[in-house]
Amino acid sequence: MLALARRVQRELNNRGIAAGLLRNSDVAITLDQRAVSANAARPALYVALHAANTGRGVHVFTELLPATNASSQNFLPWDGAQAAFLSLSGAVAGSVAAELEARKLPNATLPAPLRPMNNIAAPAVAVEIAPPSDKVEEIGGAVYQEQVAQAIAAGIAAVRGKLPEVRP
Amino acid sequence: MTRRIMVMFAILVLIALGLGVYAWRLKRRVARDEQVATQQSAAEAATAPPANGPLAPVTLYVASDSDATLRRSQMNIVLPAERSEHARAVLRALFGAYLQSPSPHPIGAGADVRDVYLVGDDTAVVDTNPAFADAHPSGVLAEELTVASIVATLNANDSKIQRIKILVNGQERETLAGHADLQRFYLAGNIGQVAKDLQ
Repeated sequence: MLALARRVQRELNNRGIAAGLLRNSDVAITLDQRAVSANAARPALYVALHAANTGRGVHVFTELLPATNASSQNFLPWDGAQAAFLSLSGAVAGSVAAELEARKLPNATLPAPLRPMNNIAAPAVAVEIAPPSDKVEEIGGAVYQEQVAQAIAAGIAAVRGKLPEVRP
Repeated sequence: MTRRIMVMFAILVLIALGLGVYAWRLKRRVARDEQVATQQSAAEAATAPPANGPLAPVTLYVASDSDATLRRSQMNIVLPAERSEHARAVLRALFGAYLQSPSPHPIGAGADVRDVYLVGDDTAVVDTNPAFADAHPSGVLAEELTVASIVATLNANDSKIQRIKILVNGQERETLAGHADLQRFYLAGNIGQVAKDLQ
């Protein structure tokens, strides 16, 4: 998964978008620590990358929380911080899915009850890649991962103007 | 008293003592066996579905990993009348579908529902055993399918149940297998939309 994260980071950089990784090696970080670190960095967008054998292709998730009218400028509840950003998160997910579709990669967009995404005080999506076919080993294929990374970066770049500016 | 009578008397005393010890040990063994048998029958009564009674149709939302869907299906099972036992029997039928081989959505071997507690009219707390979470396949989609199928199945068979919380071995757990949140109460309305998306 780290390899895919680095590919996405490189593709974003190529499009003039700065991207940092929460972990750059196989160290374990608790879910709360991930959220704390991400929120402290005040990102314009949080992207979680996962790999799985369930299903086929790429699934793009937004958080399964009821939308709220709470302003993202106010104090946000820890368990539901993401609720104030669901509209923008949905826009990013839709854009990434469109780029996956354009590359003829099987994909679906779903809400999911996902930790620590509910704690993230910024637009956020999770991307889970599964093998593109019945052959499980294809999930690690360089060409497949490159296509997915490009689709994620292109999808984010397409909605960049809608995302909040990174606050100092 | 002759020496011969004294020896005979001593032998009889020894035999009597031996029989006493034997009888005491036999009594303890019988008591222990009875205790084990009582515990086993109590455990079986707690975990086994009712063997008798008319079959009744239940609705299951069964997840399928191959195409990432949640399929509505019907099954006939013996249903207890009491609401929480009814809910538990329905979930055990759902788990049974996942534990068969081949399985449309494998979950950990030995996964079971220990209890379903109803809090008020609309809230169900599902207490699963450790095998349910410890051996569950890890992944956002795999875990979401499990949670969604539990919530949708409970609501489909008892529409009053609108809020569902999942425990593992009587305790709250952070996630099912690293991804799906088990700290929140799930709302049947929210999951209903996910279930529609997954059909």
